[in-house]
Amino acid sequence: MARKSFSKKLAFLCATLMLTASLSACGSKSKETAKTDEKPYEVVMEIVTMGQEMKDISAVEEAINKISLKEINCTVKLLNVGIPDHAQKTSLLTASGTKVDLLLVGTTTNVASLATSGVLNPIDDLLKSNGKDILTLMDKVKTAGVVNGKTYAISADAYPAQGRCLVFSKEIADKDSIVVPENATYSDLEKVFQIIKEKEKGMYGWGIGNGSLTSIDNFIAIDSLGDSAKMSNGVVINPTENTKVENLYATNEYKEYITKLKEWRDKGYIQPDAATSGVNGADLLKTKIAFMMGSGYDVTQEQVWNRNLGFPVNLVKTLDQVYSTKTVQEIMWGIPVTSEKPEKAMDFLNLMYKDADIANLLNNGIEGKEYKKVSDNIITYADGVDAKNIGYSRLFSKFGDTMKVKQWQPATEDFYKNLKSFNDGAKNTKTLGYIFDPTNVKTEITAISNVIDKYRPAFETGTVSDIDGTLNKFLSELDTAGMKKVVEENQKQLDTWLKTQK
Amino acid sequence: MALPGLVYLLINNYLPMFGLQIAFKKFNYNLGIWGSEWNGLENFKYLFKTKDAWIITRNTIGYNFLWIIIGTIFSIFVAILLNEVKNKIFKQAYQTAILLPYLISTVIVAYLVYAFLSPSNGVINKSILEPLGISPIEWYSEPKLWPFILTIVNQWKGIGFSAVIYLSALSGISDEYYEAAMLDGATKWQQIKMITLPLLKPTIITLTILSLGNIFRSDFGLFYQVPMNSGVLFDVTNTIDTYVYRGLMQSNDVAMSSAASFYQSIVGFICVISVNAIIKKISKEDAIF
Repeated sequence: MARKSFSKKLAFLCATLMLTASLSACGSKSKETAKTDEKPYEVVMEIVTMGQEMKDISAVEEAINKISLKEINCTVKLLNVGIPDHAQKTSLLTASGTKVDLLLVGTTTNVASLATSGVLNPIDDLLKSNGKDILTLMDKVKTAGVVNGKTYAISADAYPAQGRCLVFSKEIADKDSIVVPENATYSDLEKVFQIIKEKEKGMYGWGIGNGSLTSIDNFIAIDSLGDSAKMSNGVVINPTENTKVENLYATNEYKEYITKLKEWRDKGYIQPDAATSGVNGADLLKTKIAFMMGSGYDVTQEQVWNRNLGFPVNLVKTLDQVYSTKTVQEIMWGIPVTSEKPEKAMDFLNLMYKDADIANLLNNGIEGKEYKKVSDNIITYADGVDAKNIGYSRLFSKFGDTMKVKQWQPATEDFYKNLKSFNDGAKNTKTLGYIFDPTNVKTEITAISNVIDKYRPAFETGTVSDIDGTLNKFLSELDTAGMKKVVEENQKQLDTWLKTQK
Repeated sequence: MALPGLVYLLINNYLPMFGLQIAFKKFNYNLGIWGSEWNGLENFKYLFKTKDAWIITRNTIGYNFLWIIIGTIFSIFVAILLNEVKNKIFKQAYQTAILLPYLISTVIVAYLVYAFLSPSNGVINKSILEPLGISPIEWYSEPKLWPFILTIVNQWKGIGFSAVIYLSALSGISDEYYEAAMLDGATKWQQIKMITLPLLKPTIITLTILSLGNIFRSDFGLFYQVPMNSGVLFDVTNTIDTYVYRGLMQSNDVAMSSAASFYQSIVGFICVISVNAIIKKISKEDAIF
């Protein structure tokens, strides 16, 4: 008898526990009131990396706090988010009510969709009142985060001009006397690939796999109008000259490109398994299976690729640098609706762009721990530190005014001069600032995405044998899915927007 | 005593149902679930309007139907075989071995399959076809082969689980029946036909009805990972789940993906109810409810 009543009590206890647990989820959204003005506000700022643990992150926070407490009565908490999870974490942000004051907008997320789904606060007024310094700095690119007339995000990089280039191993290029000219043509590259085929056994010239995004944008200037992964919104080719929206996959340039890729695969310049391997170009370069791939190009890319691949690289430009919506929207700061005091968030954001010390802490870590000085503004790893054991490093997020931030070797003191002239030499695309709103053609884009996934990887890894026949099928399926409608809608919005520009 | 179970069921399965309305709304994070405006069946359009809609529905239902039938036959077969094994140690060993694939993540399975079917390095192309002088097959570019490949992989992975359930049902059948049958001179096959199968009927019906509830769902890993996301194979490997994933990855549209889930659940629900009603008419005690 005692046993029976004990198990009954246990059952009741379990039930109560579960009910209470489910109720606790409701409690977290209540806002705290009655905070006195003296108490410092903690700004939660997201930093996007590969997701790896960084042991010195609290040391960096402490160092920043010394300055921020004094200047704006705020402390900072750095929220480390890995880029593979970034899109998901952003979409779950408001659903879970997690307090975040400064969010990275761009790369895996899209300011237009975040704005229209109500994740971000409009910040026009905040910028004018608490963000004067960052607003002045970003003057050239301040339309980047404007959606439907309101500003939802501000560029994180004041010098976002980007071109395209080819990246490859310096060591192998020197060893085999490979010279890649600027603005290389397909036949220039074929000469390079032939040398690799003859002199480097087991290595393929062109690094691409079905885990890659499209690669034609390394050779032809394209504005992807919001979808650089699949080009499903329609594109503008040569956007510094044109404003015509077209279906990339129907252009002569695309046909020429995929025909070339097929030739390359047949000649042994592309890995035969590329269509099913699931890897991307960077994986292939890192493991020395492929020699060369395309990349975005600006004065920091050499440092980035060196650290990413673990060996020195050469970068050769293929397309001139421009200011386009994509480059200015690549990395931006937004203030989500879950921030408790957006004005304080803006205060910190402004301070980050005004104060050189905070910018350096966030970009490079702590002097002596992460880096040591080589000259006034150039740094290298601190003693005993290398890429594997470094306690804090920036990867995707951008902080502060690049002109005030110390740069890593192999950059030299010329860096700042180069940065300025690189950006001054950049043209604006005619579509700079235009953001496509896909709400009216959501259904079509879903279908188009599927069609693109079906055909593009095979085309771009050179695996298609009958190019004409398959391309016709591809294009007719795109038509059935509604590509014409999307292109027309996009052109319509673009023309309307162009009229509102002076 | 059932109280904790019931409470758990309530919290996990019934409470979240209020979220079903997301499928009918123009979801805005700021306004939340309650504040977002209704937009009728807008979010469902993409599942039916496009040409692909027929293909993905056909694939999803087709494969599921086929596998319910094949799976049931094979699992019963395996269960009967296992039941015949008298040595306890071997019986355990076989059971574990056959159950193991069920526990392996499909991503890993995808790469196991890749090890066999890789066009340049796969076991089949390199170690079997090449020595025989046959030219290598581009496995990931031949849609015709994939219904077979997917069936083999799915059965290899799933048989263990159902077999174990049937095995436990089989062990509940009294030996007396078999002894009586043997005395009457029945062959092994006659014993199976007359005793085993009829007594397994309730279990078969229960498991089948439960599988029918998932008829519009598919194992995402099996249809996305195992074909290595190869576009050429889409016509035979694209199911509702993979279609929604590929279509909405960029736009992040929560309402549209909720609509897809809703559609799958509703159809599964109708399926279960109607099949159960049919079973009730045929043999009342076997129906689930």
